[in-house]
Amino acid sequence: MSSWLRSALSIAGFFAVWEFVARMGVVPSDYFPTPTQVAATLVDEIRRGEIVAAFLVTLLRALVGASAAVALAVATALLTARYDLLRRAFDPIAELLRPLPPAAITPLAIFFLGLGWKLYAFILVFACFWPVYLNAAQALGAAPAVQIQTARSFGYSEWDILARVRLPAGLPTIFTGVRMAASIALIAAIAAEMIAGRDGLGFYLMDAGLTLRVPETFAGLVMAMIAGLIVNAIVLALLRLAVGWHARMAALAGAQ
Amino acid sequence: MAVLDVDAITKSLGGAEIIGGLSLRAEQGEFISVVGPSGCGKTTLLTCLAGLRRPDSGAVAFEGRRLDGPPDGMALIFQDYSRSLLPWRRNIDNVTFGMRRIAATTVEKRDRAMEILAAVGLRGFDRHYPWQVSGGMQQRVAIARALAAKPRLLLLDEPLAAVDAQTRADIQDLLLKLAAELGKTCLLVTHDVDEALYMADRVIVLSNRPTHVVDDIRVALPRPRDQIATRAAPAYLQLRERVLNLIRAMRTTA
Repeated sequence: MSSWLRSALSIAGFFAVWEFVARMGVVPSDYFPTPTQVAATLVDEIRRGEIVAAFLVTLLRALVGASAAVALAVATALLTARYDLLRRAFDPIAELLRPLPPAAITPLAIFFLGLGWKLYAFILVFACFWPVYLNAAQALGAAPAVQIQTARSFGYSEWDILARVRLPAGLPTIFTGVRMAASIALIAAIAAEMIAGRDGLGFYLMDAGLTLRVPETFAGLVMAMIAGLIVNAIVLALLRLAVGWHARMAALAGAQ
Repeated sequence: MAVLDVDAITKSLGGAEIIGGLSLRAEQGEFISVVGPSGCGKTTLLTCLAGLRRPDSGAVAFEGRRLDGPPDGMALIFQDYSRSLLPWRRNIDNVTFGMRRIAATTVEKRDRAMEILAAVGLRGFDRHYPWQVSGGMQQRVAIARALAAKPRLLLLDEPLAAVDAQTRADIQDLLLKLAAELGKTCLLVTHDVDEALYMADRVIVLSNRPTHVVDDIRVALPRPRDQIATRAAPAYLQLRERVLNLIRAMRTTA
C-alpha cells in the first residue's frame, strides 16, 4: 500500500470516528459538531471572507517572524563563532533568557510596544530565535578540523572559512533549529493574537470560542491546521533545496 | 636555495614536548619521506611545516621566506580524505576549492579542474559527490584539489593509510608520476617504511618524542619505480632493513 493511500485512509478513519461519536450524542451537539457541520460552516466562513483574512494574517506573521528570527539568529551565531570574546559574553545571557516562555513576556511587551506589529515582531523573534541560535552556534563550531586546516592552507581567511566551510557544514544542524522555530512561530503568532487580539486566527478562535460559536471555532482550528501544514511544507522545501546533499548522503550511508 | 628549510624547530602542545630541535631541508624536485616510531609527532611536524602551527622556537622557511601562516605554493593532502573533502560540493567544486589563490575566471577554473580530474583518473566523475565514490577515488579528488592550487611543495600526511593495498599501490604510482611530470617537491609523512622507501629520493627517520632527525638516508634506486622490481631490488631490501632496525631500536628503548 502506498504511503499516500495509507495516510488518506487514516485521516478518513479519524473523521469517520469523529462523525460517529458526534452523532451518538455523548456530548451535546452544540458543543461538539460533526465533521460535516464543521465543513459546512467552514465553506460559509470562507465565502464571508473573515476567516480567510485571519488565516492569511496569521500565516504571514508566522512566516515573516520566523524568517526574521532565523536571519537574526544565524547572523548572531556567525558573529559569536567568529569572535570568541563575543561568544563568551553572549552565551551566559542566552542561558538566562532562553528558558523564558514567550507568553510570560507578552504583558510587558504590550506595555512597551503597544498592540501593533512591533508586538508580534518581538514575540515571534524572541520565541523563534533560541532554537536556531543554539543549533547554529553548536553547528558552526563543529566543522571537522581537517576541513578547516585544508581551507586555511589554500589561503582562505577566517571569514571565508566561516562562510564556505563552517556554515555549509553546519546547515543540516541549523535546519533542525529552523524546523523547531517554524512550529514555534505559529504557536507564538496565535497565542499573541489571542492576547493582543484584533485580527488573525488567534483572535478569530478566541472570539468564536467566547461567544460559543462552536462550529466556527472548529473551522478556525481547521484553518490553523492548514497553516501548520503550509509552514511545514515550506520548511521541508527549503531543507531539500539547501541540504538535499545531506539527506542523500545519509540515505546512502544507511543503505550500505 | 632549498624549497623548504627547517631550522631547529621545537613545539610543545598541552605541556608535552613534541618536536625537539628538528632540522631538515628539501631541494627542488625532491621526494622526501619522513618515517618514525608511532606517535612521534609526525602530524604536528607537518602542521608546523604547512604554517598551520607556529613552532615555539626555530624557523621554517619556504623558498627562502620565513613562514608566517600558510603560504602560497604549498598544498596539503591529509589521511582523512573523507572528512577533508567538502561533502556538499561535487567533486569538481571540491577541486576548484583549491584554486583560492589562482587568478582565473570561473570558467577557466572549471576547465582546469576537469583536466586535473582527468589526470588523476577521475574522468566522468566530476558531477559526483565525494560520498558517492570509493575511498581511493576520494583520495584522488583530494590530490586533484591539492594540485589545483598549483603548489610547488606538496605535503602528504599518511595519505594512503586508509585505503586497500591495491588502491594504495595505484595511487603511489599516480603520485610519483604526477610529481615527476609536474616537477613538484614532495614531503610524505608515513608510518609505512615500504611506502617511504618506494616513493622517496631521501628517507628521513625521526626519533621518539621530542622528535628530531636521527638519520637521513639517500634512496638511490632507479626511477621510474616499479611496484614489483623496485621492492625486490637488493639495494631496496638493504635500506629497508636499515630503516626497520632503526625504528625497532627506538621502539624498544622508548
